[in-house]
Amino acid sequence: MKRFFAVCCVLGMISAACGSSGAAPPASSAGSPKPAASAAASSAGPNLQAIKSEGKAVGYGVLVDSQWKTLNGLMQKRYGVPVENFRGDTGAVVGRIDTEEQAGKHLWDMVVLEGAYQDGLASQGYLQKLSPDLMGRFPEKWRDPKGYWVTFTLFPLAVLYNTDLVPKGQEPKSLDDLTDPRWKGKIAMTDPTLNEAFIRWFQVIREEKGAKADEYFKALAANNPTFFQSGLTVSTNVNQGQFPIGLGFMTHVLSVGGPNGHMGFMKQDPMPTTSGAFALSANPPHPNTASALANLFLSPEYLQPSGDLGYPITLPGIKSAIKEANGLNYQDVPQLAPAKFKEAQTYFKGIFKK
Amino acid sequence: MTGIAGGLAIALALVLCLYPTAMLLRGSLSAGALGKFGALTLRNYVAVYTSAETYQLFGVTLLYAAAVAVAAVLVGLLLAWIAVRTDTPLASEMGWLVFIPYAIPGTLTSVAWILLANPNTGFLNVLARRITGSNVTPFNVYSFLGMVFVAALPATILAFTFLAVALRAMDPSLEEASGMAGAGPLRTLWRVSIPLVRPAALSMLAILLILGLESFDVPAFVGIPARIYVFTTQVFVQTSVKIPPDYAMAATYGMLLLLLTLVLTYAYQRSLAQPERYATISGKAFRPRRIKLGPWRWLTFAVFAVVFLIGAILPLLTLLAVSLAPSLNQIRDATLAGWGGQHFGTILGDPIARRAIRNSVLLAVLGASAAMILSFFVSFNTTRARFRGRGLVEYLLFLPFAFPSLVLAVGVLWGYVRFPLAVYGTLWILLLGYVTKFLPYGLRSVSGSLLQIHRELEESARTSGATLGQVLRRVVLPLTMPGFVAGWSLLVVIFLREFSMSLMLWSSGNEVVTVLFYDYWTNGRFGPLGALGMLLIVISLLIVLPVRRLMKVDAVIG
Repeated sequence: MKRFFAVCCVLGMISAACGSSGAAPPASSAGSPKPAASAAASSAGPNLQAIKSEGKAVGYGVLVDSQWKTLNGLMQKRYGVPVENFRGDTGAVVGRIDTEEQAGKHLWDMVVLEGAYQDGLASQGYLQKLSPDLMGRFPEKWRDPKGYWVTFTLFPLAVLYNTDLVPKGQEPKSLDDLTDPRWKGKIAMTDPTLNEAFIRWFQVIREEKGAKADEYFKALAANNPTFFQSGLTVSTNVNQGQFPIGLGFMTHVLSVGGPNGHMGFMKQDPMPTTSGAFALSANPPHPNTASALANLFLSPEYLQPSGDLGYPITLPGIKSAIKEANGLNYQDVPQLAPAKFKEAQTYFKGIFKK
Repeated sequence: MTGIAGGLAIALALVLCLYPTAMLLRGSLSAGALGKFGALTLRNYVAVYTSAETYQLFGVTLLYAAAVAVAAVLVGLLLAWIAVRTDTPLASEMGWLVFIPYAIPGTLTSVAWILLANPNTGFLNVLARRITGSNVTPFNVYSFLGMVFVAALPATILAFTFLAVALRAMDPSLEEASGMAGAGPLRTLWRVSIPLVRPAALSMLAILLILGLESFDVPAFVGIPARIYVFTTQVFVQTSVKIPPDYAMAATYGMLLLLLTLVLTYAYQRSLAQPERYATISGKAFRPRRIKLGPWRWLTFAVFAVVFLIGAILPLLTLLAVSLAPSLNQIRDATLAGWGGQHFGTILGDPIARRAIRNSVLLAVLGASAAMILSFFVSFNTTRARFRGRGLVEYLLFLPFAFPSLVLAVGVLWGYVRFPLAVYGTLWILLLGYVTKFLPYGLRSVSGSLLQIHRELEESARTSGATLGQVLRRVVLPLTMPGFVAGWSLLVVIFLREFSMSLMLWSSGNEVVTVLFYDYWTNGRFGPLGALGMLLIVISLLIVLPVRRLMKVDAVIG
């Protein structure tokens, strides 16, 4: 018994010596919130010393890994501080923010979500208004009329295909092509019963097809698609050749596939899309860094690399590196009222039930 | 021990276990948001119990959990008998060998088997097509059978560990007597050995059934693609898909599962009602006896080898290949150009990955130690002290185990998000969650050992003048040490591989490795995923195997 406890003590000491980075609560999580650095301070220039002493910024949101990495790299280069992030789907991000804010824990500085969900956060008092300087960089149609967020990018939804596995000329040309039996067992799909954006997209398809919707979706289900909870997983599977066809996000052609990737996408008119809007916390734990971060994020310095990753950017002058993405007729996939959302979810569960 | 110290231990354990449970119960009756309960209401229960989907999900979940539990106990018992009771080659090494696959986190087992057996490009299917020259697909992990198979692998190891200890501790004179009465080895196995390990087998069945009901990693990685949804998928929907999350509904689904697991717990308690019937460590000395199987020992060796190949070799080789190859295609095409340690370099050069490893190791070692020490003090009191409500205490301590980790995480969040001490947003909330959830493992491990020690040993020591402390130190602890260390090492591995609760409770700066696995998987970063997985497995084995060897746990098993 003595030997055992001796071993445990040694192991415990070694572990403690490696440092418990999270053992002490972050200073920002306890106590009363610090006064938020007004985003208007961005026009006065960042307080470099304060940024250094704050040590980091924390972002929550739906950006992909490569986008967070780019942001982190730029902040490190310019200010010498990292951006840590919590990446999740919309539900996970909203839930986390709601939980923490309700408990008075202010652990995040910035958030990226669709504008409609930013409205929800703003109505709870979780967001601060962005400075006119920052907002003014974007055309009015992308700005929140109340001043809390600005849409900086679009996330178009698309049929993806692996360019190595699908011969040229045999790519799907329409959504109806997905019911072709040659794709049986070959389709990766973001789960239209679990993923909020895809429930909405499929509902749009359902409404467009009207009386033929049942027939269409049953034929699609008969092709035995494989579901994934996240669009990102669909894209990685298609890019890596696990599936020749996928229903995911258009921008992943480049942001996941990379410049030597193996994906293409099917153009649609209109092209269904969701979007990404940027907002700042009303009580950022790192107010000076948050302010500098906002200024950097909403500038060509960050958004151009996002465009280079394939994202359609709403900041004038920045184009998507996916040439076919420029000039498309994008149309927002509408939000669904809770009752309608549940009805749609139930409908698709029934259709795709095994 | 039955005085203040014992009482304090029980009180602490009860608070740990009942606080989040109470939060869940209150939350399920609530209309308010997380941490704010609002008015009492039954609307969540009405919504759940009046939905046909609830019963469909329940049926699928029960079938899945039962299949996993039965398969694991049967195979685990067979392996335990082979390792402990026969002269199969390498039997004495099987204890630690079988432990190796358990060091592979469930998320990685799922990933490995997806890479091996997905219907389009799984490595085994690609190999089969190359060999046969046709477009065959002999394996499909995205199926109900695939789910059961992947989930049963770690469950079998768990069953083996507990059942092997029970078999080892049995007095072989009972089997010898059976042999002398003319019974052959199989008849003796059936009529003597198995009935004696029945409490251990039944309790494993109950535990594995509960684990199957509440598991999320296999349903998330394998079930969703297969379009097979279980209860925990619904909980995940309520907490991470619905906007805003509906934690009250998640808690309500959790309470539904609790009813079933209370029944299982009652059955478990009844099977232990007469411990003297199963006391096999007595004042009489005995030597373990191995059955000589003759040429049949090569068959039993083959059985063990196949299970080891499926449970350990294949997944480990897959993860190793993924960690070394530049891309998955090169593994499929068996081309070696560019293979190397670049992914390991990526991981070791990434401060977030290094921090996650550090956090995971710290939580595992501290948490397992705290849980086992608490378990020992609590188990000694509940198995030895005659006080009213002892059965109720055991029951209550089992409650958190009955909840899915996802649901219990909601209870932990509810309980600690507004706690006066700054627990939320730190590693401590993870530690509290882990210990709360997995304390029953420690209790089961220690109490199983304590039950097999006949009181006459302690009574003899007391009669000879030993104090309670001396009895503990000189008699009880040495005899329970194998169970204690087996429990500790299991908990270290469990904490290192814990996924569902970590997904809900982590925050920036407090990442653990399993959260990073999920992140890498969804981002398609298979190489770093494989590298990080291999590092974690090596770390797990480096922590656990030397301790087990030092404490001769596997000598007890083998």
